[in-house]
Parts: sequence; C-alpha cells; structure tokens
Amino acid sequence: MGQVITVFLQVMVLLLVPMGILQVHTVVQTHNELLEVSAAATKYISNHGGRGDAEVLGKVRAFMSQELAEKSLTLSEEELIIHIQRSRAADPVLWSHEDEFVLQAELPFPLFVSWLPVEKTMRVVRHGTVNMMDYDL
Amino acid sequence: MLDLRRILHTIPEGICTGINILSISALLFFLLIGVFVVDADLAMQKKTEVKMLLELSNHHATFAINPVLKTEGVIDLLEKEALDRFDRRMLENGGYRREGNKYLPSGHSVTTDSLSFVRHYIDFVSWRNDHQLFLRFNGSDFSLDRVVTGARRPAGGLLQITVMTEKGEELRLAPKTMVGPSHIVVAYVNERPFVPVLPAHAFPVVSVEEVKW
Repeated sequence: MGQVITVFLQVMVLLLVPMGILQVHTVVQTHNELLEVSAAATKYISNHGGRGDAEVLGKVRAFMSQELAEKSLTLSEEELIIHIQRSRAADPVLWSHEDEFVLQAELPFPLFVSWLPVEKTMRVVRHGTVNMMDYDL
Repeated sequence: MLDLRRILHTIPEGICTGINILSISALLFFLLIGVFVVDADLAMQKKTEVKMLLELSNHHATFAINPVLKTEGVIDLLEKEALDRFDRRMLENGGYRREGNKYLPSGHSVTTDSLSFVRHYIDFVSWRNDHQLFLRFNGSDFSLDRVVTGARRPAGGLLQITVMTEKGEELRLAPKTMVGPSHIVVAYVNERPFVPVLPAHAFPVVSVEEVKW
C-alpha cells in the first residue's frame, strides 16, 4: 500500500514540474506577443494618423488582425481589448503631426488553472507620437 | 523519501533507491529543459522589446527640432531636448530611468540589469556623407570610440555601425542609408543569466531615426 502511495506521489510531482514549466512558458510567450503587437500598432498609428477617433480605432483593429494572421501569433483577436486615447491634440478631430496618444492592450491572463493567486489580466501600455501632416490626411 | 523505506521494509532496499534515483533524475531533466526553454523565451523578449523601446523613444525624440532654424528653412535637432523626450518615452513605455549614460530598469522592465547607451547625431550639414561609427563595450561602459566620415552621396550617406564587445569580438550591424539628419541610439544589453550555468544575454541594439518635420 505504501509503495502505491509513493509511486502516486512521485508521478504527481513528475507531472507537476512540466506543467509548471509549460505555464511559465505560456505566460512569457503571450507577454512577448502582446508586447510585439502593441508596439507594432503604436508604430502604425504613429505613421498613419487618422481622421477622427473612430477611424483610428477601426484602422488599428484591422491592422492588428492582419498582424496576428500574418505572423501566425497565438493571441486570440476576440480576447484582445484595445483602448486608444489621445493625450495631446492639436485639432479636436484630426490625428496629425505631433499629437500624442496612449494605447492600451489587454488580455485575460493565460492560465491553465483558475485558482492561482495572480492578476486576471495582462496589460501593456504604449505611448506614441503621430508623424503625419494634417494636409496629408 | 528515506523514511518511506521503513514502511517498505519488505521490499529489497535496492529497488526502492532505484525508483527514487530514476524519478529524481527525470525531475532534474525536466527542470533543465524548462530552464533552457524559459531562458530562450526571455532572451527573445529582451531583444525585441529593447529594440521597440529604442525605436518608440527615438521616434518621439526626433520631434525636437530647432524652431529658429526651421523658420530659415533648416531642419536641425535640439539635442538636449531630444534626450529629454527620449527619457520620457523610455520611462513611460519601459519603466527605465536615466542616470548618466545608463538606463536603470524598474520592477516591470524587460531587463533586470541596466542598459548602457551611446547617442550620436548626424546633422543637416553631414547626413549626405557616409559615416562609420565604432563603439566599444568594456564590460561596464559603452562608448563611442571614433566616427569616420567618408564620401558624399547626393541621395544620403551610408551609415555603418561596428560594436567591439568585451571579448574583442567585432559586431557589424546592418548598414542603413540616411534620408535626412539622423539621431542614432545604440544600447548594449548585458544581462546576467538567471541560472549560472546559462550564458549571459549580451547584444547591441540600434535605432536610427530621421528628424521629423
């Protein structure tokens, strides 16, 4: 009987270690992808600007889904929440030269088990500056 | 595991230790693989994220153009203001604070050791000339050894950056054609490994941005 318990415990520990490693690997990789996608989106806004908040948000969403597909990233588009806000604006509508913005990308924290005491979302905040003249928009 | 042997006194001792050694070595093997996988993940993260941080910060920095010269039709960078703007973005996007020519990380930064960096500005007079930058990392300090200017090209000069590492290795970074006055920032990441058996993460990262106008 004792031997059965020992073997059981050993198998549990042996399974737990790869599980833990896989968990850490998933978290790091998801974070990598979130950092990459948010930085790419920030650059995209920086180089394109836009005619109004709605247009910028729409263009960024389209760009991100294209980016996720092209780079075959594992992030799911439905789970990704994006907020973009201007922190400095020359014109109330146009997103043009030297306007500054804050982009926030958020994901539910990638977990295999739900009882771990960690934050429930993974978030990346990026600040950027638009480099696009208003007469080019 | 040792006191389990008392329970299992009917089983020969050899079998019991055999199982234990097997499971412990399997455990260590899994751990070793895990450490390598996570280390590779983190190295990847540092490389891409430091590059992104430099690019985003440098992008913001190159908006610091001289307003007086601009009215005369000359586009030039205010270097001090550019550095301030660079610092601001490094703090906002990466949590780094500058001290001298190093960026010190905070708790949520992507590296745990500081980033040494070198900044160089090629102004409106000389951006059409070829430039070669020679940089050196001596283990703690990263410095610009010399700048060699070459032939003039009407379309814009070719920029080549060579970094000499601590071990005397020469790293040539991909050349770039300048299309205007350029602000160059090269950072050197030198991270201790999180387990001593692994190699350190050490590599240079470059960002070249044209002045925005």
